[in-house]
Amino acid sequence: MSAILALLATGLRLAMPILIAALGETFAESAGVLNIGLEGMLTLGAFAGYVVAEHTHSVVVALLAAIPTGLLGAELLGWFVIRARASQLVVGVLFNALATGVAAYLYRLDCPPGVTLATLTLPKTDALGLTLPFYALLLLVPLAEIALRRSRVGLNLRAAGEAPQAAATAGLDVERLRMWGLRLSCLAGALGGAYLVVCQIGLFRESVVAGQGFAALAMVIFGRWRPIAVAACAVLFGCLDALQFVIQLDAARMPPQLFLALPYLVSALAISGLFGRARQPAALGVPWRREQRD
Amino acid sequence: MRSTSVAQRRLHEPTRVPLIGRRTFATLALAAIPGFARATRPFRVALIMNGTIGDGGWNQLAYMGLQQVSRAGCVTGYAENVAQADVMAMSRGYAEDGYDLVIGHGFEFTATFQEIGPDYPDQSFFVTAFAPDDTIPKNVAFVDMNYYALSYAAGALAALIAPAGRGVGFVGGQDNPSQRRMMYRFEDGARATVPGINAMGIVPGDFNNASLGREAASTMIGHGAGVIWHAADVTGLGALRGAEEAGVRAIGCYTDQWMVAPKAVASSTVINIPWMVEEIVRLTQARAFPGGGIWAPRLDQLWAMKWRGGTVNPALVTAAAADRFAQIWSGLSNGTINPQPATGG
Repeated sequence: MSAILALLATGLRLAMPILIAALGETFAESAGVLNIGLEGMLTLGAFAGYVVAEHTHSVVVALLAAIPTGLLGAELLGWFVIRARASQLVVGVLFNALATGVAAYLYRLDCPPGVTLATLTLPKTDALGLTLPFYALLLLVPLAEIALRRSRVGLNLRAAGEAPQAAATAGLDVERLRMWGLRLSCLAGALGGAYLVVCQIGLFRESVVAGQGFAALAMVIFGRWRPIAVAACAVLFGCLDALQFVIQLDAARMPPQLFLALPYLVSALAISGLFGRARQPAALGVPWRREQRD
Repeated sequence: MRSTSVAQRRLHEPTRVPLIGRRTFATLALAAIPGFARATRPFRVALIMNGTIGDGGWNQLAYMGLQQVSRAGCVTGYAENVAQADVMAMSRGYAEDGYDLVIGHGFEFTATFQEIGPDYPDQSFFVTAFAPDDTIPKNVAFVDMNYYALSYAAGALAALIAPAGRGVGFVGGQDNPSQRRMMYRFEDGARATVPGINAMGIVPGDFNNASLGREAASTMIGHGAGVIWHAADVTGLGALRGAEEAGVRAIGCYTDQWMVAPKAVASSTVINIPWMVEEIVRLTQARAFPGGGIWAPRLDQLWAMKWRGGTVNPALVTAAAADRFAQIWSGLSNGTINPQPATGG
């Protein structure tokens, strides 16, 4: 396997959880909801996936555990940020803390400190080190692109995020559309977490997500709220991480800190406006009030 | 002039109610004498960690040490997952609450304890990290955990068990000078034991990212590594998984990690942090706290090689390799082997 192919495969493996979460977040943000709680959703999904895989020994069932987990998380978040119109930023931050606490508590019931649980058996990989679920989940990228950019539902969703007043005047239920955007974000977040644990590392700790939810939030901005671009950015982010490994080995005399910062440096440059302005959905993060229609 | 009896005078005088009883007063007076209060109430120990007590390694072991201290009669408190921004407030909080010994578990506490130590001269502060170059306050102590000798030993064992023609690799955690030096000493140990061996290392920049750990290990395996050792918490667990997935050998760290990758783990460099916590509490209680300096236990006091109740996995480590490694370990512990840095800083 050539060095470039190996680097690309490593980048793809590193990117997948971020990619899945970022795709879902694109729907939420397009509908006007900024889901800062994505990191917490990844953590809860990772825990749910771990527990289900441990008991069922089935990768598919463990990945499916993300569905109820994501929906439950979405209902909780949605009640605060959509129904009660609380600050999306504050609620998201609190949700992340809550999710970490819940996952840690439940995990410690199963595995108190001092006890090491058996790790999961990971799915078989091909020559590139990629698994069957990886390829299956990759199909989400064109599906998301079609759903968000080329379908009536996607158009309605984007209307709720761009001009909720106009959307409501046209007869759309903005609250409902935003709720569906949030549900997709939470579902994808939980799925990304479950994939990380069940298909990539085969073990759980409450810190296992390690900021990948926040990286997904950055990828949505980096990809300018377009699913294919968001996915490409996530892969680029993963490849830059993979590149710093290779550079540390092959160019040991160069300052390693520069390469450790590489993924974040490129992300910061991409959202800085140097390469054209990124225009976010006009009503992103702005609570929708039904009475505004009157 | 009208005279009044003693009894009448007492009746008209305001009643003098003492603010505190004699017994309470005596207790408070004695408590004000430094040292007496400590002798009469349980010793109080606080542990502050920047990770989780369920990490299966570094923080979990410190927590286990704290539990042992608690069972021995000390009053204990702990805080986990403390963000860097909260280290100062958390440390001052425990000091204000009157804890006799505050343990900051990791290098992240160095600057904070150096700063707040002089503000609480009757309490002791212990950082489980190397000492800084600055002057250390009298009530602050650091520890030399023999990381460099340990890394040299791990490199030696990795080289001894590497299949012919394969190299050895190190996966670090957060990028800091200690982790880099550990990587260099690991490479030194490997090369000194098997001259010409391909020794390499990656410091991914995070202690808690298993995904990065796995891919760092995979990248080194792609570059010819046949044995992986790590010195990172959750990141290291990912490295062990990566080694097992790729069918190469691995050496765990901090705890006996054979269960994380049963087919790959040949042994683990197990740190006796519970002993360290108990020992520093004992020293502090005995007024022998090594304040103002560095506490330096021996390599074999703090570290041991462990695998499922034994030392090494006999399926992956030959008897000859185990014997040779035992000699190196003994030499590093008693100081007859004192390797000078050959690589890096």
